[in-house]
Amino acid sequence: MAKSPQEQKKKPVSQSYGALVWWKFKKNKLAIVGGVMLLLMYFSFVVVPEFVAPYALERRSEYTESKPQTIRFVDSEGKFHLRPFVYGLERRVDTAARRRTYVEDPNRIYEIHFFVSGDPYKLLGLIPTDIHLYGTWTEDPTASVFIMGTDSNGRDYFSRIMYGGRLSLMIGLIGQFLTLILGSVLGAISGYYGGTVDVVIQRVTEFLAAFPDIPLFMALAAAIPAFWSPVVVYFMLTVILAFVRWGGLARQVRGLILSLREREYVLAAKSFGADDSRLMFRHLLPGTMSHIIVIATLSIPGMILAETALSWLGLGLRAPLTSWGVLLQESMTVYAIRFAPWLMWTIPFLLLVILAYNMLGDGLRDALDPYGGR
Amino acid sequence: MPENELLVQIQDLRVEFDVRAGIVKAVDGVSFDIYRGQTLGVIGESGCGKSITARAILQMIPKPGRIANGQVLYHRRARGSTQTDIINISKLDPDGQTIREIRGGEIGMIFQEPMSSLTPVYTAGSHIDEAVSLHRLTPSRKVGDQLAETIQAHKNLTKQESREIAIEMLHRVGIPKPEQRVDSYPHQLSGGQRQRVMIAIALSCGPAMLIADEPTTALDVSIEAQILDIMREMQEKENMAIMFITHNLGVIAEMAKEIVVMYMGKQVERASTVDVFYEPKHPYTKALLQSIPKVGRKSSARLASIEGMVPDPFNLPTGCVFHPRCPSFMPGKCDKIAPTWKRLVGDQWVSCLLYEEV
Amino acid sequence: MLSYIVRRLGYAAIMVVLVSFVSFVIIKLPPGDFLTQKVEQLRARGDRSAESRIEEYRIRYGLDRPFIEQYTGWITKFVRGDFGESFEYERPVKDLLGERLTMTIILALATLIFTWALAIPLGVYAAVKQYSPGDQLISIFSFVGLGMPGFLLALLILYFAITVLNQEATGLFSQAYVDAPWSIGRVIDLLKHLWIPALVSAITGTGGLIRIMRGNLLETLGQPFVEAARARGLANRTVIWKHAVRMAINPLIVILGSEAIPSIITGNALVSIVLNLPTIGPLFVDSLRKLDMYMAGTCIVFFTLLLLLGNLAADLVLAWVDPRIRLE
Repeated sequence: MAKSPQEQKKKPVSQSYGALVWWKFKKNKLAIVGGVMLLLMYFSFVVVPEFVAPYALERRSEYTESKPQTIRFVDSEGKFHLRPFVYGLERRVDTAARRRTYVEDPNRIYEIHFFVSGDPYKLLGLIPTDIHLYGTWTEDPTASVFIMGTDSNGRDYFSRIMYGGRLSLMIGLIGQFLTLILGSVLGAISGYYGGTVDVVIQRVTEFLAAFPDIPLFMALAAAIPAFWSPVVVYFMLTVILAFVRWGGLARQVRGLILSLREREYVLAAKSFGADDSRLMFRHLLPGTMSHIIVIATLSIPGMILAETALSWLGLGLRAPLTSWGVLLQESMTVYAIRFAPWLMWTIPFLLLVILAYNMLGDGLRDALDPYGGR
Repeated sequence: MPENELLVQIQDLRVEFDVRAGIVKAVDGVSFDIYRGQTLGVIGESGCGKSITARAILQMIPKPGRIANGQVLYHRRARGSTQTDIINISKLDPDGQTIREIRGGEIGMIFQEPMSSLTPVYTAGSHIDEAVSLHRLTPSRKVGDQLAETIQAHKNLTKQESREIAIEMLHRVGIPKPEQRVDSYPHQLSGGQRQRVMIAIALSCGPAMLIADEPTTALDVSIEAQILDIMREMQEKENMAIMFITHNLGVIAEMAKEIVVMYMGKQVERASTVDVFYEPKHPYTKALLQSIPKVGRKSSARLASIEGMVPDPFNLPTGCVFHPRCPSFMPGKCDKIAPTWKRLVGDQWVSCLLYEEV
Repeated sequence: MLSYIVRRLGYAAIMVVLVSFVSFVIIKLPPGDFLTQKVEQLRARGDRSAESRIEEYRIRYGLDRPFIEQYTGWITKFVRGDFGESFEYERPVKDLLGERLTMTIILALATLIFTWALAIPLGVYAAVKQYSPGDQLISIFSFVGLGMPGFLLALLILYFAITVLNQEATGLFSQAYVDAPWSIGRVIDLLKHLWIPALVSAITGTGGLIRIMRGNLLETLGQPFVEAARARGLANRTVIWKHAVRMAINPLIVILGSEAIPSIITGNALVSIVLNLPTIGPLFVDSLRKLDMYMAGTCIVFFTLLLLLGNLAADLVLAWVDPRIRLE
């Protein structure tokens, strides 16, 4: 039987699992956007916050609780400047509310320059430098560029948000990583071996699940003595977050392992003489890896939020450690809401991170099921 | 009962599916007639379009499919009258009053997967009750029958009446202890029992035709035999037409009087069952028949299979769609010219260049 | 069925005891205790008189006894309804909680009913009219709510209420009406405050539910029994609600017990802290900070109890709704 001309022209298309997954992932614009956003954020907040932020974390100024300085291009005389600028700040006293406020003085113009010299720091903890992404470039000591206002100590809030992001974002990642390890290993052991090991692990996870998680976090976090060093506190907090959360992941992994355990390729591997741990780690766990990654990615926002909530309540990180939760502490009073609402600028950043993780996680989940969907 | 009364006519039906990769011609020019009280078998491989054709009869083609051409005509006759209306089903609103009356009430359908065709949270009885209340029909009293009394077609049924009807229907399809089984959930029934329940539901409304889409494919052979028995019995008693869809030649030989063979959305042969089995005309039909394992054959003989694979729907062969796999392929002809649907001797129709002057 | 309930209640009781023990351990973990805290506080204010009386107080509150004694003393009285005394407020925990427990339960129930009554119709619509503008709108709405943490949303809405609407929006009642007897004015005042937590739960609570309902229903609509139902002549509406939704809702009820109820309880706790609502949440956080151990311990026990009872209720609803589970 001769082949018709069409059949001879067809070329093979890669249908490997990895190729299908990547192809499907690429089609999901939202997921790509989410991924890129996360990369950008992690880079700016975790790796180089000192560069992006114009001021050092604890640099105080006299401009306490100042509202944000607006970035302008046209000054009060109608003149257009090529370079963006801000007006200087001047103190006023509001006799009615009995507070100090700061208003912009159109007579003092400070241009914003990029890659300027500012407070010194060590890039990546190693290279000493003092270049910042943006800042003022003038000898005038009263110059300032607070694009998100200042807090009650006169510290630039935008800078603090940048630094705060480092701790908040890392705690989510590290905490989830610990949870991943603890949960997958225990879940795999539980699912694979069954028997008493399984029962014991199951009971423990059930017991943990009976506690409502936020109150449990709170209680455990409150147990961290205040006099321990901040680094240890940070570490302990991460461990606590992982400790409370591993149960959920373990249960999922266990379920997955149970369903995979009886599949043919496991029996085939066994017949070649593979031992238990080899089976578990080289055959079964990789099969569950895609699911685990999706679950883990989608759980990171929860971790970040848990730390934020704890720190905001004063039970988590405390000064001098700065995370978004610690920053929020200042902003959540009726006083702050009324008089210093710019302190809530932390919130959009937090929401952006959560959104990005959700988009990414959703995209991963869709992509890892290349045979499903429409 | 007059033998040759038309019930459903499918006329040059073409159904297309518009998917992202292109347009798939799921059904491409199919025409046949179904007569009252008779069984028509439709046979072909998976994906040949037989199920879509069936769904077209009930105006239930799933999205993104649509009827591109042709129509389905239904000769509707009210119970007990002689007046017949011809309804063009393809023009009916898919969620309209008329088609909903027809579905289940006049043309019933049973499916391949009895487990997943029943709603898991409702009992067998409540399924039957739902259908009966909807179509407000009950099997009418017949001479010699042991049924409950006739209930007027437009009176609402009481719970008790409904239940009795359900039990009776279950009994008629051969389910033991129907008064208990009527309260069973689908997962408490075996595969064979579930299919019987499906038949009971379909029959409880006394339809003029039953479409059976691979009804026994998922069942054991012994159960299959019983189900086929019930279907034949019901057909005799109720003068019900059956459109029997399957890929199993053995089953279709038992059930159908006439057979339509389909391939890639096209009909390739139509003839009486006897003719199809003893004098198949189309090479595809012949190949199908040859692939049935025969008892008594030498063990060294290899099982015949049809060479090649079902073609990519987006890249159909030119000329005759079957030519790449055809043992009687004629180069220069079959790959260039598409065959036409031609009547051969008697009532045999075929679509093949072997029988055409080209 | 009855034996199942009894078994579950028994199991819950055991859990509660275990939880209470572990909670007590956790609460006792921080060094020092309520008294040392209090003394620190007073000392910071310049008041040194309390120091001398520490020992006296310690004996009075039983804080000098060994841990086990403190625990067993507490737990035995607990079952009799005496939850100990709050050091901070110097009142029985029972009184302080009692007022707030009812509020917590009411808020939780109201949130539950409200979010489900909103989410299910929206989810069904989004699935049935997939890709329509309505679906896209609902999807955007649900994505926003899905990622949004309740307490942050509460803060934002509070900001809006205080600045734009110029309302005194925290708490359940304004100053004037807090202790006033019930009247039309009080009801209106209540509504003026209630809309914030209601809005918060509407946005955050429904987000996830809508997506799940939509996803489940889309999957269910592809199953054979839906087509079979349609083939029997049922109207589209009947096919969708009586058959498809009825089946698609089962996984949601499973989630009800394992996720929805816990997240409502804990989410409400945080939101209550932001909005200063009279529920258990704010009281609990305070007691943690002050190491007010009987109060904190009792709060955790009650949170857990609510959780376990919620789980049980959800499981019962599931058994009622899904005969496949019932008959196991």
